[in-house]
Amino acid sequence: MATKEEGEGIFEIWLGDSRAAGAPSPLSDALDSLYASGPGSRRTQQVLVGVRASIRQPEADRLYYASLDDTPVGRLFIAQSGKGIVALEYSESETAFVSGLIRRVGGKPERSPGRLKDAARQVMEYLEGRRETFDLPLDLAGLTPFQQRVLLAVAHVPRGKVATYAEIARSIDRPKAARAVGQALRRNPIPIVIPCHRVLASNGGLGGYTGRGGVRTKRQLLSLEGVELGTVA
Amino acid sequence: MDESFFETMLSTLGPEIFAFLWRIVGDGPEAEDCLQDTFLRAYKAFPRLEGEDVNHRAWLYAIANNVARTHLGRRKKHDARNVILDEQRSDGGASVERIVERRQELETLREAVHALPYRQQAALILRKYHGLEYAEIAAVLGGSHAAARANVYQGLKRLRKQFSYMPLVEER
Repeated sequence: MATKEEGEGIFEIWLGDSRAAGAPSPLSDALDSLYASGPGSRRTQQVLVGVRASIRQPEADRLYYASLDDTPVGRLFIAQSGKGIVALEYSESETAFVSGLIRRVGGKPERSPGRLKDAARQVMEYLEGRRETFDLPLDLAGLTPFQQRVLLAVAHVPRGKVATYAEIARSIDRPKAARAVGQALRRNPIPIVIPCHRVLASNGGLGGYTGRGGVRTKRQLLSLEGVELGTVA
Repeated sequence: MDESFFETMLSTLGPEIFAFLWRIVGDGPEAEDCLQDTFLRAYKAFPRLEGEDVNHRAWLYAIANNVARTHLGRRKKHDARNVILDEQRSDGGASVERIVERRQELETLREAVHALPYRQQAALILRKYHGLEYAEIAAVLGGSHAAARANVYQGLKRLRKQFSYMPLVEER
């Protein structure tokens, strides 16, 4: 057990409570190398912008949803807020979809095929190969700033092209975050419209896909877009 | 609810709260998620606080601390963190071997800090890098002023013991 004097000495030298000792402290210096710099002010400001936006989300924003029962990839549910599409989900169960939506976005979703008519039509046309791009506003409420940045980057991968997790990571200035990009895409709340199926592993493999049918569906969507799958493992 | 006061709190205290989370949960996207979580919780709890005589800074740190702790509890592995090393430090003119060695030392040290009991780690960081008084640390982590002080001391003692034989001394 250390004596009181030893303890106080540690405080003086390491914590600067009193710099009287003035002795060099390699351990303190090493801790400073790890921790003193902090996350950097540019990144901090970027993150605060996202935090501010998520706080301003009006709670009263109403939510509507509908189902697309007979698409080439099975039953889908789609939801939109006053700002745009909030969710598109491979789901058999309306209850499961609605409770997931409440968990993420809150509020009281109401079934309204009428309000979702245009969005549902666009998704259907796309899946039947009659539409190339979507003209739908998106609402990424309930997602973290990082997820939002990943999804917005992926939204810019054009039809017929693919990107890798690492490329997406680089495009949002987080070159080391390829794995985290994969995680964010695994929880993509608006698949198909936000084309996470166009993001592949760096080794040329298909990577993962969380939608119904898994990688098979990913392959199906890519081939619908004319991506030459022979080159993709 | 006083929105402008909350906004001021976010602008002025947000950066240091983010730095705290960055130090505790590491330099990944997790720290960003934790920051958002912290301020969303604060926003919801804020109306209950108005008119009370509260140290808002310590209050925010306490929320961030809970968020970080929950997050670390959920995280299974501690290997996903990336470190940002302060490259400008005392490496000038050093040999490549020396730099590599130094990096390895720092990596070992970082692991040792994160292996400390959570309270010691958090108390140490709050004292050394955020300048919180022991009374504030006590308010953030719970427990007494003396316990906060003991946590900082025990944490440092443990690190010093662990690194007493390591070549952390710079050639000066």
